[in-house]
Amino acid sequence: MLYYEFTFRSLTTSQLGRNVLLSAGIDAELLRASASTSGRGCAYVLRVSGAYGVRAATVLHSSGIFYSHSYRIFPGGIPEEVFL
Amino acid sequence: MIYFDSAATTLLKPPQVYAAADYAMKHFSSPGRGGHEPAVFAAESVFACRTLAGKLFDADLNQVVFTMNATHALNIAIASVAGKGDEVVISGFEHNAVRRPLHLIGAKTVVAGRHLFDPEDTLRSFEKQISPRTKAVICTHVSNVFGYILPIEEIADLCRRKHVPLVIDASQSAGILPVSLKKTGAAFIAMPGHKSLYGPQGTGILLCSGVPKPLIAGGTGSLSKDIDMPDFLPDAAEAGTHNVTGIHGLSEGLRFVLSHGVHTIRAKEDLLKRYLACEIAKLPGFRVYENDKHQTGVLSFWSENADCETLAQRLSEQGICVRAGLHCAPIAHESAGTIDTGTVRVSFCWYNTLREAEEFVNSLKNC
Repeated sequence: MLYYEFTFRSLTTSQLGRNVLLSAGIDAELLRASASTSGRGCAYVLRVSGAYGVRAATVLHSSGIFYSHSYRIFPGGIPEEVFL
Repeated sequence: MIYFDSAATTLLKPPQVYAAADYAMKHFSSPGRGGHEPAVFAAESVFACRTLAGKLFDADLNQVVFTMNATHALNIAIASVAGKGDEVVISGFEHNAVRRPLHLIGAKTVVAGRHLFDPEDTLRSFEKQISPRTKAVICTHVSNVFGYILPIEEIADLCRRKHVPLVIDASQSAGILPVSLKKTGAAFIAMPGHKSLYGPQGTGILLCSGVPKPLIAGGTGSLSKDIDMPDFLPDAAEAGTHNVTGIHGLSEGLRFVLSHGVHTIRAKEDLLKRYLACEIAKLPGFRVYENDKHQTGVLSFWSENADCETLAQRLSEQGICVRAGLHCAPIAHESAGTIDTGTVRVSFCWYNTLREAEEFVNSLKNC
């Protein structure tokens, strides 16, 4: 299954982002970032299904919640950075 | 027991505060340090408390930093706005939580506003003392000794006009009076969780308009490869595992304050204060420091007939808890002319009653 992940340096900002997405009707799961996406170590991701990736990015931007990177995660867990 | 020492710590708290702290102790681990359930529960609890604090104090939740107490919060704030040799203007009613950190860093303090219950004089004095040399202003919102409500919004306005950062000590106002980070535009607002926010001891909040200098450094659960502390809030000021037990309890205290409203809570405490002030003033040899408009439910008095500490001890022997002496605020006592006598301080919380106040007066007559 394809999904998108948005990475955050701050746990608090990722929690805020999760709530904003949920308010917009987008299910988002908050997880610790994997080694391949955590960048400078210990980061957080919001994972949304592939169908909602672009919309999630738009909602986050419009709410002033800035993520560090966004990734498209392919089946098997392989990340590809995307610029949303 | 009659507990009239809530300006130090509210001993009587909403039952849900005790239950929450107990629950957190048993179920929560370190927030932001793992993806397992106890860590996630802890992270959600801390987030919920930030959200509640942001709502009560008109701040973004990233601007809410958890500390051990107000003193810890003030130390972070003070080290962020002033350094050795800097001139800092403080009010004539500051606690040692302001005075000592300033002394420790070698800042030069200028005291503004010595007249008790005279906000116009306080404001005039700040206007006079703030100069181009002023690096920062640090001001308590309410005196912990006399309950004097300083004109903090006007002082904040003055600081904005003069482009001087303001640090507010809201130790005696948070949960009693409206406190707003956005409205005041303060650089920092510090407060304890264990007084009128009804949280457990070991909790405090620093509201931050900008990123403070870290007072301590360590793990934050973010940017772990970096040798430097994160440069973003709240992580920049929250090294080490949070007091999740306390924070979970504090959430319930904040919910309690939000549900009752600060005006309702203050009105109840004010009723008790007015009654006691009136009754104590009738006793021969007693001097009471009371004001109709510019005072919270914190009341100080002293007696010609007995030393303050002796009086407090006699009350304690009758099961009444008050605070006597200088209350860690010698500047305030100098301002009020009570540095030699000290005062006995009574202070209330939501759960105190008029019946208790009546019993207090009867006990005081026997002292």
